[in-house]
Amino acid sequence: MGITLTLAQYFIDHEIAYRLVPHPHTETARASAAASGLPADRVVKGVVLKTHHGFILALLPASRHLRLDTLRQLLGDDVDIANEEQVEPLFADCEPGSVPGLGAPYGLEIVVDDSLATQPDLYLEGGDHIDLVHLKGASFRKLTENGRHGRFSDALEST
Amino acid sequence: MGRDLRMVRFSEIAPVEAGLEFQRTVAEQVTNQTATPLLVAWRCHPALLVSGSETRLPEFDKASAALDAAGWPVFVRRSGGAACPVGPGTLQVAMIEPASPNATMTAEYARLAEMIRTTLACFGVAAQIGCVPAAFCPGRFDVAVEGKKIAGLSQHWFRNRRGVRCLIVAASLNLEEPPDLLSRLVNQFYRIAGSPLGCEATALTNLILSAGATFGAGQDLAEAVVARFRDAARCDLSFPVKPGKSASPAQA
Repeated sequence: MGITLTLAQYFIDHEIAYRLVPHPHTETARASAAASGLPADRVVKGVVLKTHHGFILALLPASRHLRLDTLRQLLGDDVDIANEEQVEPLFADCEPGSVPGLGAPYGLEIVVDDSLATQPDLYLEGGDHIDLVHLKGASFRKLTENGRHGRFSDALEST
Repeated sequence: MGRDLRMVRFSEIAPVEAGLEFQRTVAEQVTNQTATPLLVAWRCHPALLVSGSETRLPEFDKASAALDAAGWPVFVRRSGGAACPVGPGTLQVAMIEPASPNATMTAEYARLAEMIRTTLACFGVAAQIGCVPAAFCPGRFDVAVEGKKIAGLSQHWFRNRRGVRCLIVAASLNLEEPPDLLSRLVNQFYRIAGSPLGCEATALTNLILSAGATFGAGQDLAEAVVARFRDAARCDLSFPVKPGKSASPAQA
């Protein structure tokens, strides 16, 4: 089971209890939700955005997709989705392609979709493709309260 | 797997930045065709390794200056984790390899941790793998003796200049640094930096303390451990690494 030292240390620092939920190897947050038998609206998807001022991590449910135009209005900046080569060095102790569901441990500002605000439990990527990190929704909200918040997602169509 | 590992190491104690650069130099030579992970061993002058998150502590600069004045300069490492003191009495070991699509964080940690456990067993030391919460930089793959941390591991994934995804799994094995000295340094750093973090000397140990009378006076402990490490990894010693500008690796 996996969680990076960076995230584990961050949880220790903030006295946050968590639990690892193993699942078969997946490549996306939505697939992780399905593989874990969890509702996708409780699994946090991280999307790295590039702005003129650096990188920002957008956090939204795996059941939704990001509305870039809304985010551009919200952030008041020229925002685009970062590419793989830009993302990987930001999370140096994570497996390639894994984007953790918290920004502060990696020195990143965050913007959090409002649809995560009411979930009682949330599941984040912890740095690999075979585990999710289970947190109480209240813990997640405490850890992300200093970030920007807004509604910038739409529901994905069911597959 | 083990018999394909190859080992290179520094011949002398070096500044910590040279050791870290040495690891990068070796990683730059990794290609997708590299079938064998490389095991690197080195020792360094006293230093406190921290990760990027520590640099955001309120009084990081002040804490760094204090540690520097005490002879333990602070260096930021690319891998994660909390503050970790290293010095001539610790052995740095890193496993460097191309990151295969099947590589997982957990499996790679387990591989190096098991190698350390096997090495320690050669000295009659029974070690376990698991988090030691009261130690510095606690992690799930801490190597412990009777509940006291003797080695800690970290990881760093990146692409080298050849575009190859590489993985460095690094370990710091305490051979003979006194636990109370290390805990005092770590606690001093966090106290000045404005963090509630810290560690307890009673949660730490080293090989001398753990192995008791196994070593004779004058025996070069690091050499003995590297030799056992080589056995544990069943290393092929012919890796043709080219010396870098700031790193002068010597083949073991």
